[in-house]
Amino acid sequence: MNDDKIVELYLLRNEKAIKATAYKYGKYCYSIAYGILENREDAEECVNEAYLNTWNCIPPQRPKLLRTFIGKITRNLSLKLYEKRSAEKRGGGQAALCLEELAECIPANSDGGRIADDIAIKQLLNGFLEGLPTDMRRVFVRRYWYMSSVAEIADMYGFTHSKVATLLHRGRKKLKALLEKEGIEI
Amino acid sequence: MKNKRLLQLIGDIDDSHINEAEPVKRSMPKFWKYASIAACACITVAVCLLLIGGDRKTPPNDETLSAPAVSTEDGMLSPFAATPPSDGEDWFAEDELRHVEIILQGNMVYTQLGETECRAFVKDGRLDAAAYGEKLGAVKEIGAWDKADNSPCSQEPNLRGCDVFWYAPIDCQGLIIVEGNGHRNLFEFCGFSEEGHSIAEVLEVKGAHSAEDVELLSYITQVPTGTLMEVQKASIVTDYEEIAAVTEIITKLKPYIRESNLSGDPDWLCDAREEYKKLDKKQQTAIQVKLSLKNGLAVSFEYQPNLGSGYIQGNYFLSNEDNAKLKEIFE
Repeated sequence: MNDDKIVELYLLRNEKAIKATAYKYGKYCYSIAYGILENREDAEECVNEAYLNTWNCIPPQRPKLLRTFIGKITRNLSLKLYEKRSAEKRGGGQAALCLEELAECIPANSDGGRIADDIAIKQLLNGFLEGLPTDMRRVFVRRYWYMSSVAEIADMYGFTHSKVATLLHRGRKKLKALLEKEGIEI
Repeated sequence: MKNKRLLQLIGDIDDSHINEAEPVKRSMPKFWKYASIAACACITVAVCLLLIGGDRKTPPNDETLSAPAVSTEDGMLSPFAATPPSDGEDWFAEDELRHVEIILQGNMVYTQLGETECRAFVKDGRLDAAAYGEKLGAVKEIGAWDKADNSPCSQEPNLRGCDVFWYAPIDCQGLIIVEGNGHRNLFEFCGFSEEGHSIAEVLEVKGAHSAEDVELLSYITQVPTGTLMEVQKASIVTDYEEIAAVTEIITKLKPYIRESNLSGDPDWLCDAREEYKKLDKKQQTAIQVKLSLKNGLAVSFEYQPNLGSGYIQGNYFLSNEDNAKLKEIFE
């Protein structure tokens, strides 16, 4: 079933929309949730919640790309649960590593910078990604959106482990430089 | 906190960047591409049998047939290929295993066997006349989400009009022959499309009426470690007493039914999962159990001994006594 038909089922409040979404994107969502949480039950819980959130969002929303729409919902829910688990001292895995790595991007001397709103940072991030070479952009998104491990990314794109690590390091440096240049405080 | 905010905001980047980072489709020579498509017999099919006699030579009425025609006169098995999905109907990611399936009688799902699996039943890859049991009908394309449904659903044109027979040597409903459109292959029953069917029913369909029909029982014990489940133990049980005990316990199980597709797992199961997550990882054991039947078929299920009072997927918890018995056998 194509995405338009599935979205139509949501708009018609037909519960088969959930079944079709689970059938088509269940594995995709699970891989996102598992990448962040690294726990089977937690990942399944997030994916099920993502279906319900999608059901509650459509309508009024009507996503252009259902795949990334539900992927974003899954990612957000997984990060929330990750924070909860971290508070319970049960966190870890790729999300923790990604956070550590992204700390490198935060300008150290940011006094006097303006605290930007979400929209401004989103625009800056999109501009930053568009300006990256394709390989670096893919690797960066794979690491910090999907939270795939360096080894998984290397295997996925046929790169060496060190090439992925280098691309990520350069990407983070570029992002930090951009944030500093724009005087944006996260 | 700042890096957390940054990680969250990255979640809202443009869809184009997210899609672009999908795994790269590695190109391969055309020959291998089509050979692998034929071998894997891709795409899930939602078809239903028209349970009346049909013309065995009925040609498919769809122009999208893509598999090369092979003569079926010599009895050779030739797997069904799938019509490649169009851009807008990408049910599967590139690296996912795809199946050709048939739903018989609106609820019984059969999936096409691979070449190696077929060898367990057909040694030289050829079906003789004795293999053919009663003819069930011809495959007809209909919507398959449920019986009173008009919603759209993907269907595989390559199976349309094919004939379906029971596979006679097995003497049960567990295996069928599908043939037509220049292809012929075996399909094995893999479960019911609707909830509420017990393991006992699955065993019955596969011809296991008692423990005496079970050849052996194998299992793999896994525990979560890091990013994956790690295999702790793999073993085989051949002792009849133990096989009989397992069979008796699993055939007593009662499946639960969710109220609707929107309902998650029942509250009692969610509560038990919350407790389960607090256990040490070593106790979060999942045991994959496979009952190999004497007729060559198999039935599998997952058993989590420490979830609630023992949980087998889709069923109410085991009694404490039955769980203790299973633990003794599998630990």
